[in-house]
Amino acid sequence: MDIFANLALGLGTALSPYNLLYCFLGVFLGTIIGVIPGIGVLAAISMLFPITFHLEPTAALIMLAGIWYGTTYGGSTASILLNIPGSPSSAVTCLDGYPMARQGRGGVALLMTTLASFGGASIGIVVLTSFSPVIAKYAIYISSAEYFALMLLGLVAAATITNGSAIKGLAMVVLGLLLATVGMDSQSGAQRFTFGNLELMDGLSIVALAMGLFGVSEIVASVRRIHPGDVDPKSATWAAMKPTRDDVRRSWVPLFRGAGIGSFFGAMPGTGPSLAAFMSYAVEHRMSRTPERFGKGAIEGVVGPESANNAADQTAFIPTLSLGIPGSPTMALMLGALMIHGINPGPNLISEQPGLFWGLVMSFWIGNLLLLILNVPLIGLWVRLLMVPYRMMYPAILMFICIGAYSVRYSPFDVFTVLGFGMLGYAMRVFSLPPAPLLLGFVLGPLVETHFRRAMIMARGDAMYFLERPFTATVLALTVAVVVWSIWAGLRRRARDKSGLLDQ
Amino acid sequence: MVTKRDYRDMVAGVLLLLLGLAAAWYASENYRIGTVTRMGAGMVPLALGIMLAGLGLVVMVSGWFRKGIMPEVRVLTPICIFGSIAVFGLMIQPFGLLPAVLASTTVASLAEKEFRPLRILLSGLVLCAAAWGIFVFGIGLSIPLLSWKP
Repeated sequence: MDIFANLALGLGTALSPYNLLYCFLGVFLGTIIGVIPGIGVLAAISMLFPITFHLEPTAALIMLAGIWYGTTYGGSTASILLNIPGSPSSAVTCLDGYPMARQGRGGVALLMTTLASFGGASIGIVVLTSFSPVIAKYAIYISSAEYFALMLLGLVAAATITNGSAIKGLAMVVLGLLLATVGMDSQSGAQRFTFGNLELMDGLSIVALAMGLFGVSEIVASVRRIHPGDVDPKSATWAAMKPTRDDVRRSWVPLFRGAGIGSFFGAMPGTGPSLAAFMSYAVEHRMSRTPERFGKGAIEGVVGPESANNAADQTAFIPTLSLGIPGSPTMALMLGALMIHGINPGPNLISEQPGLFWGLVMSFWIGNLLLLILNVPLIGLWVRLLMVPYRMMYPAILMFICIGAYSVRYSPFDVFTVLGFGMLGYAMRVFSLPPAPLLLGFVLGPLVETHFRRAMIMARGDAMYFLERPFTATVLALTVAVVVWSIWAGLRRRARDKSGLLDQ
Repeated sequence: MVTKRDYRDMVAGVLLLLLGLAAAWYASENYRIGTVTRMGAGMVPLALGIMLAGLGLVVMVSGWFRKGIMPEVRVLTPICIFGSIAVFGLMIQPFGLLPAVLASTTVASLAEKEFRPLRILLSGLVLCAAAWGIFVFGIGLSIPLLSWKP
């Protein structure tokens, strides 16, 4: 009955007043950020990243994770009431949530998404709890060659599956890997790309990179574009929230289906909450006996995707915590937070840091409960938040970024690094190059290089070594399949696209 | 604006190509490459540089064969936002936290395209209070509020 001892340990950790406070802070901030269009979850996490340096690692992770799943709850609010997704994973919720709000059923939609989010997340947590320790147990036996292959698969999948152009995604992964080589080479001790600058010896700061690429460039793109919404605060009162019996009857099957879809796509590399939500919507649309209701305020089209994206939020932690391989840039930042605290992510994490792992998992339950409490009675507050003009928010966000970057080492150099990455981020936006694969490449870079070099030493320079190992060969074959499939899908999409204007 | 070729991708491709070549050249000039079995510090950057250049070439060539849309490039907004960060970086050590926050929020507010001194000053002061409350009082960072080391 190991599992109960572990869960009890986790519950004890998560319920300590210190961790509970940061869990609350995380989900609270997450909800705010999710509600407000114009600050994404990555920008938010990177903004608050420096604060976590001053916390214990468990509390730091609990807070960052709280922001991550909190935004998914908050994101649906803006989707339903304004028809603007507050976060990308809530984009699908606009399709049927906004029509519901137009019909005066916004309150019902808000309540049902919150309940669906809670249901989906709960199922996701169960999946996470049951699979992670098992995977970690087997993962201890794998060597550098397997690690290298798995990371390659993760990077390639993240670069090609979700973004418009597979080639651009791959180019950004390579650029991220290249940026990761800046600093001291861990094997030979040589300085690479430091140009004699002492502050670059430890490498580029992940905080500065994430803040610049996601925070600063997002602000540049949003100023004078985001206008406060025209929302009717009455749509979010208790009386307006009561679902009909028909709503409930229609909702519970999509909730479970959504949670299943979300749990699967959350754990896969490269896919994530956004794709899970889209898939769930497509499935509900197809399974429905009345597909013509979709797009006109069908409750199934809101409940399914919201359950799916929250389940995916939780299961995204499976590869991150059990293998140390993040499937998405947010998870890469979580790993970054761990590494900054001197904790090596990998299969040993669960056995070496049981308090951290189980505490984090149990904090998900508590965080989701807190979100349920925060979202239902306080919905009026979040709705009013939608009316705050962006011109009052972005100087505050910038200030947070500047002080946060400076506070890490008390060095103005880091502030200028943020500036540099902000410029790069804006240029990438103009050229429509995706920033997420770059971050993923940057975080995994040192690990990929170390494992690759170690594997090549073991192989005595023979590349066939990788193909002679069945597991490695399978993973590499999968990687090649992902690349071929995404290029083929891209070509087919282009052939179908008569105007010749792709991904606009 | 629709263009005959995707100039955005072509320029992006050229930039990636040049960046990749520069990195590969710099790595091969300055660091030990080593052999495949015992790699030197330069091997991985060299390989990555070549890969980046290759992908850049593909992006460039494929842009030639398709129509594109000219991206909108903002001018004033990036200047104000980037300027605000630069001002913060330049002022934080010589003058301290409060002047740096006040100056950087002022520069950032100019991106709004309407100049309202009173409103800017007011929001700057509010942010100064927030900066002190959150970072100095709350988290306990030891950043001097005011200093004079120009």
